[in-house]
Amino acid sequence: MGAHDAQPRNRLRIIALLLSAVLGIVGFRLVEFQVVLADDINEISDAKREVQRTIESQRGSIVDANGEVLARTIYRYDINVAPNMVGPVFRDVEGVRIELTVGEIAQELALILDMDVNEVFQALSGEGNYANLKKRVNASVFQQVETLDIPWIFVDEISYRLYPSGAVAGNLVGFVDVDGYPLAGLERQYNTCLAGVDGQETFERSAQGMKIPSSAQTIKPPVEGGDLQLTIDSDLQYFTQQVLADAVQSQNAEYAVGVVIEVETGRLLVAAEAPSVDPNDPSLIPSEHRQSKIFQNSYEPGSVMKAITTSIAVDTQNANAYTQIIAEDSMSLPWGDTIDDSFDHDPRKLTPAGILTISSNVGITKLAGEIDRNIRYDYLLDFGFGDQSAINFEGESSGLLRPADEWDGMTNLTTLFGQGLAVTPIQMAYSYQALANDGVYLDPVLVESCTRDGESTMQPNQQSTRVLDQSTARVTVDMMEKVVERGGVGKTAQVPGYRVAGKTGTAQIQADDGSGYGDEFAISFIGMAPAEDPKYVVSVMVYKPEGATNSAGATPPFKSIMSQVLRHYRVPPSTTPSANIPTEWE
Amino acid sequence: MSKFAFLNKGEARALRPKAMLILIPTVGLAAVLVLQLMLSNALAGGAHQLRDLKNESEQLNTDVQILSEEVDSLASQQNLAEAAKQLGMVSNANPVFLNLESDRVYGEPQPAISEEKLRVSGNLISNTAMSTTTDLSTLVQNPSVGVATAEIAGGEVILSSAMIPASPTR
Repeated sequence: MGAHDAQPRNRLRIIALLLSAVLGIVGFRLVEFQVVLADDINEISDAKREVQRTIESQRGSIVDANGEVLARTIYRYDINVAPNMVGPVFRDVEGVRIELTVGEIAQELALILDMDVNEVFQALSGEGNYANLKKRVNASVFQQVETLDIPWIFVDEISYRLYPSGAVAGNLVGFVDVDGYPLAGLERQYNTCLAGVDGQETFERSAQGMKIPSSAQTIKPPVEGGDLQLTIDSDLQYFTQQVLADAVQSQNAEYAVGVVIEVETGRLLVAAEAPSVDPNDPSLIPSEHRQSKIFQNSYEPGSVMKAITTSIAVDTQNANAYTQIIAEDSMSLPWGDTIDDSFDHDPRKLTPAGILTISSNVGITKLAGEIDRNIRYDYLLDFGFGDQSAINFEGESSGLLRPADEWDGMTNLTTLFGQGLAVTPIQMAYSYQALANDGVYLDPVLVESCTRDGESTMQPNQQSTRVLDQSTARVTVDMMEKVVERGGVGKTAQVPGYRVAGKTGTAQIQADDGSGYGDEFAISFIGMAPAEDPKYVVSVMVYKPEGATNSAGATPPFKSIMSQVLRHYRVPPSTTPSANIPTEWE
Repeated sequence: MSKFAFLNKGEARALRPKAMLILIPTVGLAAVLVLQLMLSNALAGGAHQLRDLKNESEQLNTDVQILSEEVDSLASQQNLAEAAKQLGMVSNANPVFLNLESDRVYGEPQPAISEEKLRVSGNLISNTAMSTTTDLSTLVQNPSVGVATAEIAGGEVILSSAMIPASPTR
């Protein structure tokens, strides 16, 4: 016993002590990890396994009145390569495993991506782990690339805006940039309707990088964009754009615009321009043609304003269908200026219908020049001039209508025949809508609704304004019918089988340097049919046609468009004769 | 004498419950581990199946996108106008309307204008989204494909042998 017995007992004590210490440390660390640091450790662990992902929302579609898609969101694909991983590819061909060299793969890719093989080879020969081969390829090309099953090719899916009808209504629809940001047109104006709100989800990944199914957790659900429905009829829009493009080409004009309005509802069925931007690739045409001239450009309208002036004269009881005016071809004014007709003629005994038929500046000045300018100004405001339309299109112009008390003597008279004020094509067309609609002006409507998740979130808030007495509007339309029946140029606007009322306009364009009117014109024709109960207004304006001195270049497009409109909407031909009112008197 | 002593049967029986106490948890633990392994495998299998189905779904979505873009192109006004022009179709500017209620005919029937110079010009409206156009070669080579034939005989319109003759229009 003694020292021999004490040694093992001491050793046991030391071991027990050490074990207790180790256990104590382990226990301490256990408590530290499990209790004190548990949250932090879990967070680090989750961060390593957990992945946060944006759930991309889809931008809504833009559709026409019949539901035809004008803009929608699809996917395009960026084809990328990791150059530092490029190497031969093994492929099973009919059960035989073959090796394809990088050169052979480059040839395959070049063929599919429609690229030069050297260009592809250059991209594959880089050093880094990323190089782009081609951006925004379509689904068909993407699928072909996927079929090659190349391990060092990877693909990014990109949201992409597609405009299936191309330049049809392109100037209205507008376009987005490469990142989907709206830049122009309705895309921009109605972005709050069209844009969705991205969502977010988290999920955990396994060691192999695969999503663990039960771990997915949606933090924020995506809100899909709304669909915008327009009043535009895309088939009719296409037809009108074709006619206008033809006119621009044949007349070597700067541009042409065409508007079709449904009279009873004020819905804008066509707002066409030539040239028109193809939103799929706006860079194809110069920037000045990427906007919507119908809303954004203003011009002096010229003689199409005479129908409006005549209606004001009738409504204020300063004229009726039988009012007798002697119209010379020139009229001297007290302050030395003159007002001239567009052609020389002997003094003519004209009624208001006659003034419209030969488009006499002197005649209209004599007919309405005495009407108080403030009264006329108020009428012009009611007709929609001098202010943006209710459509409130992106960058829409108000035109230029100075307050009546700022008109000088000459402006007071020239506004009677469409000079000294500027209008937008949409303002001018809708003033005729009021004439056609028994004197009631309806706010233009371009957007029918915005629908999100099957619920309409926006509808037009259309106001109506009675501008003229019903009888005034009727007699003005009767007078305008004589323009098409008997007018030299007006006759060429006749549509076989239908009574048509309208007015020509040949407006001189002021020189850019302010040196007065040059020898270039904005020619137009605005008309309605059937004249006995107008259903549709069609307006055509051709800007700066080469060599034109009258509106003969505007009536053929009008006739084509109006014929198509009447046929398209199955309007029965007229069965009654025009009103028996005189154009001249004895 | 040996340090170890052999147990007799009685003593071994007395010890048996203690062995069972160890055996049962061990077997239970093994069973749980096996079950967990099976569950883990099933879960992994499910994840693989999910991935395969997701791939298939993506593949089908791509197919839908390819086809819908093709349909967009074929249905575009630009394609239809060009196809109509190539087929020699002419728009009739003088349609006649029949009012069934009043028994009246509106308009004067005239043949559609067929002169080349008066036909609508080819498409002038750009569409860079058009990836496909109508292939008319088969249709032109074989007029019976997709084209309804009508024969006018003695004022009666025969649509086809299998159809009821249309009644004469008043």
